[in-house]
Amino acid sequence: MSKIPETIPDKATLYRNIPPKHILTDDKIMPISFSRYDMSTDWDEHSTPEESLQRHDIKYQGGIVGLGVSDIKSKIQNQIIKHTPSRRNPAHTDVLGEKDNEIRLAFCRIAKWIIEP
Amino acid sequence: MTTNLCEIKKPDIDEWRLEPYRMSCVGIKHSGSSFKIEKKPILTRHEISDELQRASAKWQLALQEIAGIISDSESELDSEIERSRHIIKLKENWDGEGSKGYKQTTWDRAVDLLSSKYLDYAMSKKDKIDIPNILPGPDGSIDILWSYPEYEVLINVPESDNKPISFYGDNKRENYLKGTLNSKLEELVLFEKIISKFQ
Repeated sequence: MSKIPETIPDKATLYRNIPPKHILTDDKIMPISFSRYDMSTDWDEHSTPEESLQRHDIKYQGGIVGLGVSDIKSKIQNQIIKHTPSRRNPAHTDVLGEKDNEIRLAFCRIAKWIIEP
Repeated sequence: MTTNLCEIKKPDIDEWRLEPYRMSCVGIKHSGSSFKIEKKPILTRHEISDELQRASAKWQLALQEIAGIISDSESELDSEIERSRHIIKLKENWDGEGSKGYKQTTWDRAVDLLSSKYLDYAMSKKDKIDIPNILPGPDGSIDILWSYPEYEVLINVPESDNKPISFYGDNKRENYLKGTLNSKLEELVLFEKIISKFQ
């Protein structure tokens, strides 16, 4: 598997695990899920949602959401999507940028459950 | 009807109490050497009594309704505050994402904003309020989230007292508000927006 970073097209989807403690009773996602400057995701070109979920310790596996790259680029400001593959995870992709209240809410809105809690 | 002042007889109060005769509203206008007395029938003693009772009943109903609304809102907010108390027990890496634990003082600051300031403001409006979720936030901060179909608001209470409370809210269309809470006026502007559901 390639460790060379590739350009991620707009049609791609990024998978992100949501820990159980980040999920509200109505399956809404807490904004803390999208607060890290370097937010880790998996590019769907190199990972299935199930593989993405299983990369996390079982007690932190809540569910997988999909973030459309085109949604991130068009609806959320100042975020850089960077493919950062490793030997262990060739799909690894960082979404880099400050995430204030507006941006965290915006990520909550574009996130779609792919593997539900 | 025009008469001299001396002809005016003030109704005897005891007589008025006892006699169910029709009271007259007396307006006096001075016009040269005479006074014009305008008589306008009002209500009998019984009619006044009935009217007062009806008004009193309406007031009581209105007050009960307001008290009920406030009590419901207060009770729902209290439940959410109690539910969120677990946040201060969360330790380092509680979510597997490396998130920090939380200080009692940060939670207290968030609860104070809601239970005294937001609730007080809502009570002054005499309206039922939307209850937010009190949630763990990034870097030891507390998030307060109103997530409703018509609007969303996220307030972030930082761990450090020196940092201002920040917020963002919108009606999912063009109407939004973003900033920090540095004064009572800014709090009122934000609470007004929340109570009006960002309309």
